[in-house]
Amino acid sequence: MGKSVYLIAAVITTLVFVVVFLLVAMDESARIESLSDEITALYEEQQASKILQSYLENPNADSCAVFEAQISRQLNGIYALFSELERLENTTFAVSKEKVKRQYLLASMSLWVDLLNAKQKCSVGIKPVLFFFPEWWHSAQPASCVECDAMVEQLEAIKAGCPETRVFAFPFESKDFEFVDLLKKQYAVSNAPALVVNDHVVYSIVPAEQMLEWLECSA
Amino acid sequence: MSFSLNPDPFGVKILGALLALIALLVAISFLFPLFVSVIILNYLLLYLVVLFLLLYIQHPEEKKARKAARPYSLAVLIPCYNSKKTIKKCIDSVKAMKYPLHFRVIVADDGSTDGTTELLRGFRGIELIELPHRGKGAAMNSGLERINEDVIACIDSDTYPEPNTLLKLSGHLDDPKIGAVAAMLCPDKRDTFIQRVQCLEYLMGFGFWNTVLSTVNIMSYVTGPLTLFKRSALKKVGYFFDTKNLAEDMDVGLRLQEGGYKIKVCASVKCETDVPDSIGKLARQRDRWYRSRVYNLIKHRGLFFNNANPSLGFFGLPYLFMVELLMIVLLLRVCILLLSNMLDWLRLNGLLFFSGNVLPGLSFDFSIATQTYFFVASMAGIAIQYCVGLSLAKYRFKKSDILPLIFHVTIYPYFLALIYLIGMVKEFIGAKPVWERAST
Repeated sequence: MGKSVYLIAAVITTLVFVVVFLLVAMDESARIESLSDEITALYEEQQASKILQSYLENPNADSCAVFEAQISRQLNGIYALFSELERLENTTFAVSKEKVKRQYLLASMSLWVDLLNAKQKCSVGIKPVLFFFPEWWHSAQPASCVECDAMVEQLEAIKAGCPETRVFAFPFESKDFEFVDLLKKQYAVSNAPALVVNDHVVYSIVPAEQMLEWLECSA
Repeated sequence: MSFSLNPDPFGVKILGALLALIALLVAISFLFPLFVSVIILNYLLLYLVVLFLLLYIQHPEEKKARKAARPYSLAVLIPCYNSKKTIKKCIDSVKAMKYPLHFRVIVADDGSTDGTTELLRGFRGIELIELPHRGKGAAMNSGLERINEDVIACIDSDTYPEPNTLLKLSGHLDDPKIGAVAAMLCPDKRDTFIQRVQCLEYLMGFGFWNTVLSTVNIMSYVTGPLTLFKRSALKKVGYFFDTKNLAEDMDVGLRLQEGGYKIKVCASVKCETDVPDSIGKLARQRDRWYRSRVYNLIKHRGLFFNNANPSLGFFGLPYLFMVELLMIVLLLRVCILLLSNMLDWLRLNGLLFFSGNVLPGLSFDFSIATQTYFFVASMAGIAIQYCVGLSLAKYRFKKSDILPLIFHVTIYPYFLALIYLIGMVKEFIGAKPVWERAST
């Protein structure tokens, strides 16, 4: 083998790394695909809800209960997806990551509208909280946002004390959808991170009692 | 004991440039996600693993012992300093070594203050040289002055050779290109966790790695605790040991390389030596080793990219040095990341606590990051290398070795990288090192 042993070692090492690269790419694609499938399933469920809502122009107490149960289920699903999206930030080769993020955002916006519609027609007990986070928090090179993490932790605690609370998370600087800009204007949100709780906009952590009071939840 | 940092003022500049390079690489690494640094380092490590396995397979004859065609005249030189607890066992082991010719045992006492000198005066069959305390190099020089034999076996006073050591090693010196031959080292005691970690380190480092390094002639040091030298080779490269040098084994090794000699490692001879029994003592020992390493690499910088020995000049020294530097860079990167995460965690809890919110419990992210796959690939390669290395050392792996092994391949390299970095900084500022006995 002589000096070629150095070259052979380089070839073997490169081959091992190429195989690992391929395995990583396959695994990450599978994870993205699975997440995308979950979002699609949620989206389909939303379409079914929309059809039901437009069919029942004047819903009664029974159909309102069905609406509320549907929206609540979908909201739970989308919040779980938010956590999965966070974990997706550890992936590197998943090229369709941005596409999935957009799908998630679309589903969130659609749910928000559904909730507002349902609230107009029925007495829905769900208490929505809007959470605007900075785009760089979940970017390819994530930077730390302690305030964002603190808000997420606080919302988790609030949800435990006030189970009707549901969180809608939107990136503050969304380039793809004007809808987020409209929301920001509607609630006069000027910075991120920010929470909108029953028309109150906050940019930092507020006492838990204050949040529960705004949400009209007893601690 | 004096320990002048540099052989010349230019050495300080080189060291300063190296530290600046490390700082620059750390800064640059922050421009990329962590996985880029991890992947680069893992690639370089895996390359070493694959290369070493190939070289090992390629040279099966290199591990075998060799009996000399005719026995050389031989003398054993034992430098010692405050070795009261180990010297008797050492001398007994030395005297028990088999050799066809009579060999002298010369003990150079470097001004011991713990009663070693008095103890040595009572030994029969040794030649004792009593010296003022001037360091190991000076003590060895005093011993060398009295030796006229063809082969000199230098043995540390806390090292216990096996009976066939001289027989098995001396045959390698028949090759005129070989100037020194060393044995595999392993710890005498494996009582503490850190000693068990070092046991694996020694078996792999002084066994497998050194065997492979010697097959391609890129050994940059002789093993201090036990090496057989050809007197003619030592004479050609300046004979005496550098008294300023705390790692005279590396200095002599590099001088032999400069003189065109090969250093042979024979893993079929296992020799036990004392190793530090606590993390503090280990840190101080490695501080001395690494500072000396920096000193010697600067002193013998002419060997880098030198055509006289291309394997050493273009691969051995630059590649291994680069991997060590990158290890330091990754260590700093990870430390800064951990520190930043810790500060964020404190701030998060502070924010929640002072606003009357519930504090979150500890949570861990178990999602698999990209770099994990590459880390696993390198670990698989390292695992194969360990299997080969431990079988070469004829070591029976026990359950109690599992934790030390995990520590050795995960945290230990970073610990060593930290000591290396501190050593470089200490050398740069010229702090004086302290010599300390390994474990007793």
